[in-house]
Amino acid sequence: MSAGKAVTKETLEVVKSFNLEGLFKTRGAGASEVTLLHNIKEGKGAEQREWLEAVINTDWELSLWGSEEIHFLRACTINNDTQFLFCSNFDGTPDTYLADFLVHSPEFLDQVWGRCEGYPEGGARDFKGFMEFIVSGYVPCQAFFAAYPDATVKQVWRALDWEKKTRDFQRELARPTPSRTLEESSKQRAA
Amino acid sequence: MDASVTDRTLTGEDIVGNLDEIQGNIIKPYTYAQQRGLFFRIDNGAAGRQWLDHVSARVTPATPWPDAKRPQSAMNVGISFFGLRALELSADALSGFPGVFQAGAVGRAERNGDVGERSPDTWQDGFGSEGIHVAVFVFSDDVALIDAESDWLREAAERVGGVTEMAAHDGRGFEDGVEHFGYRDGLTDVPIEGTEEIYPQTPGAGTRQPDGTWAPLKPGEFLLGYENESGSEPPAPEPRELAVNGTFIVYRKIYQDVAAFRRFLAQAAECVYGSSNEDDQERMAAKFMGRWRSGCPLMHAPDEDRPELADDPDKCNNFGYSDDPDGMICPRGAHIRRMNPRDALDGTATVVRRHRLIRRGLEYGPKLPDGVLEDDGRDRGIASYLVCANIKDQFEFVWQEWVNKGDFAGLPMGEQDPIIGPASAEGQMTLPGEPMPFLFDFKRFITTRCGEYFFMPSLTALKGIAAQKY
Repeated sequence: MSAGKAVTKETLEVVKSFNLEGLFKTRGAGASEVTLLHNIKEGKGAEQREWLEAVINTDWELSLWGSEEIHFLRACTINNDTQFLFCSNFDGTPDTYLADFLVHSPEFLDQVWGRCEGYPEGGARDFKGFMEFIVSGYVPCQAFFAAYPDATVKQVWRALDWEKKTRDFQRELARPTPSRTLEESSKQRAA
Repeated sequence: MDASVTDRTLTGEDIVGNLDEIQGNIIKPYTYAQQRGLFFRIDNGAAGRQWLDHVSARVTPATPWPDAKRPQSAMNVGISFFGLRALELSADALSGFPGVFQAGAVGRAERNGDVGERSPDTWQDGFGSEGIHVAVFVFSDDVALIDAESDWLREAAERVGGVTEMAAHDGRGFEDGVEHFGYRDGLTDVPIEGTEEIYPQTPGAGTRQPDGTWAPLKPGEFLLGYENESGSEPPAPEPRELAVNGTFIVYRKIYQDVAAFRRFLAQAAECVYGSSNEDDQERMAAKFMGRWRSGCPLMHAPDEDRPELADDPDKCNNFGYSDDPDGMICPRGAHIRRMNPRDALDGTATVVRRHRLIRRGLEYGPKLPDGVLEDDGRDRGIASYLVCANIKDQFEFVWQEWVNKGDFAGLPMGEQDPIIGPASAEGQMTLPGEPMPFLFDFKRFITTRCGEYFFMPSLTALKGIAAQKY
């Protein structure tokens, strides 16, 4: 999370006590994964699917965009809307990733997982209860590939910005100067 | 047709035995100097089938001519999906055709970059709708014979009624073999396994093998019912008799803005070499194409043109790009390196031999006189068809990924084919090793006048369609 409240030592300690780093895979500064599978409460499957469909390009994406840490995220209802699969690839460690979310967007987490079985009554503000819920849906990831494991989201954005600036500079360099019109050039040749 | 061969996947060994079934000008080009594409709409299925039955008797197969003596004219036929529907092919048979073919050139226009000034709304002669049903291509060295064949087709159509001529597109090869932009054309063809004896080709036209030799392409890349480069058959309709020995063609009539190309060439030479003198323009033209305008490949002559190499069968096509991974000699975005990257993509996920095209076509319109830099308002370009067994994996893939993008070759995403690309705002060309190694502000030099996807059936299938057998 880029701005707002700082992650407190207390929150981070609660998260760390669940030893997430021993569970989820990390390939570098720019490549960690979280894969979670939870059962959806009976009768809530269609609602969960429709909420996911509606959330595209709205608060969800804005919230993720603002996180500046998430490379890719997939969230889908599967098995005839009975289960909820959540896969995320992000920078840093799973500890800081979840601690960030817990502090900055508890309401968002409540919306994402609130229709799942076992979600704590106190929601994401119940840090310990939320972490127990998260770990209950842990899916071991056997193979995790990252093409650029050390490039963080911010680095990728910066590199793309540099590419654009370089191209603009190249374009300026490659432009024929006004003095070198075709006519001028043929005069030079004649001389 | 031998019924037994239609039950199994055919291979190169079967081709020679099936030449009387395969339409001509697919495996081997005719090399006639003149061609005419006549395009018809079928308004009455029964009449249309009767007319097609007449026409099918005149269709030229791929059978070698006795004593290599070319007949005075040849005729070939393709039918669009809308044409097959108008000829009342059964719903089962129709539904078996690949979806891309069913959508037709109009349905696929956006994906193929036929948008804006190239969009189907602007297409001529009833193209751009579902109204082009049957294409009959007539070839000869003598225009009078083409006229006679055209009249015969029209009279036959008039006799049955319900068949309307929509357009006639003429093309002819220039005597010097040089196309409108000034490049020598027709230097490369695609060799097909099993046809080596009837159509021997120069080294370099097929696929590079690990030992450095070149292998022909599997027939299934260009003929239905045959094994392709992935060891299976291309998608095809049922029954098998309808598909086998047939293929698909992508017809495109393309306008070439020669004056704009010449002006840009001078500007580009000025940008890259600091001069637009003739030598630098020729060098620039070679970097765009990957060949000097004489046809001599850059890979054999990086620094200056050696026109004799274009006529040397051991050199004209015999090269790869593995020694030039960065494109210092032949830019990675040069036209011929895009249309056939040869060994340049070895080690990547892209299998070049699954994306090859056979091009058959001729120029139309008068040449713009040498040195003229202003457009004379005359229509000119190329009217050609591309042969492929799988329109989606071959024609559309090449157009969408290799012509319109740069990513496949490790170039900027927006880098496009310098000659036939869409020249969007991001368009550029990377020219490593040149005094100015990048070039921008490409203009659009070609415009799609019209196009359609046609099924080119075997002779048996053509008669079967006319007899409403499928």
